[in-house]
Amino acid sequence: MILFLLPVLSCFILFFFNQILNKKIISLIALTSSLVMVGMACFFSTTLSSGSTLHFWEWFSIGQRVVPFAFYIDALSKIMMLLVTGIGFLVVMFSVGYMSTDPRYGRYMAYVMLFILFMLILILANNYVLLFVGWEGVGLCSYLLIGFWFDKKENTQAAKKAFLMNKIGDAGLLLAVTSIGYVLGTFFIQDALFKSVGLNQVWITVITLGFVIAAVGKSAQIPLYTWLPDAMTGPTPASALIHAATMVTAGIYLIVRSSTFFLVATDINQLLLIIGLLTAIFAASIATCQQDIKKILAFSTVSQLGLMVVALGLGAYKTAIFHLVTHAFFKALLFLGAGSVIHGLQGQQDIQKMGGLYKKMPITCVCMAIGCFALAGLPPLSGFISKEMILLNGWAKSPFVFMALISVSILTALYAMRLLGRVFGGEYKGSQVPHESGLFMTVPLMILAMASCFGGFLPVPAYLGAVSESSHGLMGLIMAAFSTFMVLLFLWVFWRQYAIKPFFFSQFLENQCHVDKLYHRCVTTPLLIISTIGYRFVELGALQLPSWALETGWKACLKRIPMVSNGRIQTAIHLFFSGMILLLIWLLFL
Amino acid sequence: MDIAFYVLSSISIVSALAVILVRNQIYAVLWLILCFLSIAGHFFLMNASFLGIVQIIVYAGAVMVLFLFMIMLINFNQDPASPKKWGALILGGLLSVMLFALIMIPLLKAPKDSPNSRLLQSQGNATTLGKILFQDFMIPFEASALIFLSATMGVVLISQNRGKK
Amino acid sequence: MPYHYLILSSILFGIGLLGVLLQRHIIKLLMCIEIMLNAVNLIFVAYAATYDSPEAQLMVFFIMMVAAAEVVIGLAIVVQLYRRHGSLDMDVFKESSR
Repeated sequence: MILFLLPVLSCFILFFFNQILNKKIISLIALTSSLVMVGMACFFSTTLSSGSTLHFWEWFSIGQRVVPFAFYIDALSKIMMLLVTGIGFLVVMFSVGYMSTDPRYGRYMAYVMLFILFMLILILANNYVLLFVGWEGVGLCSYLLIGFWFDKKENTQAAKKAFLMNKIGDAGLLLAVTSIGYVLGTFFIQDALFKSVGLNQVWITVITLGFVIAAVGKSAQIPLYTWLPDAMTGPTPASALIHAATMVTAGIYLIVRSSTFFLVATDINQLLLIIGLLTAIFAASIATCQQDIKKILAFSTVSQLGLMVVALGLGAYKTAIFHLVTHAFFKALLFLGAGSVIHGLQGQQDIQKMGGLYKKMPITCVCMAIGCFALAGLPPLSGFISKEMILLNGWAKSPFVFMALISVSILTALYAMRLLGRVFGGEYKGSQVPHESGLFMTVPLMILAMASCFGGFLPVPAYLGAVSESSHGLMGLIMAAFSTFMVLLFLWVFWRQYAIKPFFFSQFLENQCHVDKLYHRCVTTPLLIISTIGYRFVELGALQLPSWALETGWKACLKRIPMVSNGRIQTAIHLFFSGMILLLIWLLFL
Repeated sequence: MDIAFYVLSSISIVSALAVILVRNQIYAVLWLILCFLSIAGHFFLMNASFLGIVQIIVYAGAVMVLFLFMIMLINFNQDPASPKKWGALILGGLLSVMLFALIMIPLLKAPKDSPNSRLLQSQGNATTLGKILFQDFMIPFEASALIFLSATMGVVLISQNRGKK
Repeated sequence: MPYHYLILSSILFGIGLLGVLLQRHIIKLLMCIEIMLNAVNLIFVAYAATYDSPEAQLMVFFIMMVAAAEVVIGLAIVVQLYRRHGSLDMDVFKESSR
């Protein structure tokens, strides 16, 4: 069991010697470690039966509540484990080609390994405290990787922003976890879920609200999503790993894991639904007007996460996990493809300067095309199948929800095809000479393209134990036809480079609706003022005042002592009489 | 007899205050002479007639004349020109008030009686004093002569122009 | 206890003290010292009258003599100070000049 953590720990420690090690050795260590982890994940998935616990050691206990370092293996955690290690391995392989020229290559690999470690802890934890450890850990690694190129100030600010917004979510999670510990008397996940039946509605609301806040922070929903677009300043493979496939899905995973709490909290489910819908539509519309390749993908991630949250709000937990898996496939593909394009153009990220790359970078083009089609929902690709499930659930709930989801799909197809058309179609508008990427980068792209194509047929919901959904029938056929038509229409529009005239709020959308400025003015500035006041008055004023007063008084006294002998007669007279007064006082009163 | 005491004491106090307060030094000297004269009056009131005479001759006569000579020789009626230093003034005032208070505090607790009670009659004349002076206090008398001698020599030495010029 | 004379003497002493601490003119300073000495003389004579003691009156005599000698020397010093500093203002007297 401990072998599971060994690869991660070993290479993490090794990479702190990155100045000594050769680049080839670093790559070798990283690749073998991640491959070993994939192998172990497969091994454990097949050998361990569902519902078993791997107990490592007793960590601590609060009163009666024990908190061990232990893993819980069931269908959900097996799926997540395979996903994390698999995509982790592919990202490491891609990074060997992408990041090997970076002087801090070893540290990069160390951070990636550390991230995989924490993510595994989060997924496999069998108690909420350990999950919280993993939660914080992935937040830390996100900070480290976003601000990886810390020479530029905006990178460090983006990292700080991500970390702080995650912290707000962490507060929610802490609230939920402590409530669980207090009211249910245990931190074990399965025990808590079991005991939650018949719990007071107020406590249910508190706990689920805490989980929702945590998910909003970590999975980038409104209002805590602004860190994700700014997080694109980090290395692209890291974005692929963290901000597409795994970390941002931690919020979704958390709610699915604690789904028993949510079954009875109808108000919170409404809240989830509303948040998800708003986020999905809002982010998708912003994505249609962005000019940076990575920002388009970032907002796309936010929007798709919104879809997953909608699924959670509708109570379709298995569907949400299914969409999580397929989204991981094609979003990682898209991010790595974008990385390949950026690498090929020596760092150019503006799509207005790209175009016609299908001739120069064919493999990347085909793979990214598959990814874009999957994102847009072209049947029978994986994206379509999971999205269709969510839409069916929405149709079952209410027509209004269904219409909102349809509009999300339209917008998604719009920006996906825009991306494809602008980057790969038409004529090349840039200045650098593009070249196709090497093997290390293209092989993961091809593997992920395969997964995006055929991953829809993985029996994920069934594996998770869902009863077979209502027959797709007519509704499904209509949606398939509609999606195909829509995707092909948009593709034709954008491939032929028909320019869309800037409509009246496209500039507003391009500036991300000025949300960042709003946050800055309403939240950061008052907080900064309060903290400055606090610092000045409390710390400098009250706490330093006695020592400052003592020092100044002492210096004043010391400065005046030589004035005794300043050669003036009056000083002598004054001193004489002062002495006499003291003597008299002594004689009279003491 | 009480009236005399109060009159004389008021003259003493007023003239002493005037010494400090008047600007003109010659006037200050004159006020001081008046003060000494009133003190001499107090001496006479207490039947110390010898001391009263000595006070008038020595103090009011010799010492004050010496002061007058000094003022006239050195600094005839010039006022100090530099601006006042308020800090020193405040400190001085504070100290004097404190000392004065310290002196007065025990006094105010003592019982009062009339000013001229228990004054005896015949002890202040020159004969009695002379006898005691030359019999019991001979050595201090000679010592005081030495004091005068050294004062004279000291004055001569101090007032030299250091042999230069 | 010559109570009234004690009060009078204290007041005179206090006035002289005030003058000593507040004056800037050297010669007036010496005059205020004389006031203080006279106040002391007064109280000695008062006690001599109360307790019928001629020795106390002789004490006054000696005080007067010492005071005279001291005034003489003091004035000689004042002359030298005037020669050195050109003024009789105590604020001007500092050891650092010349």
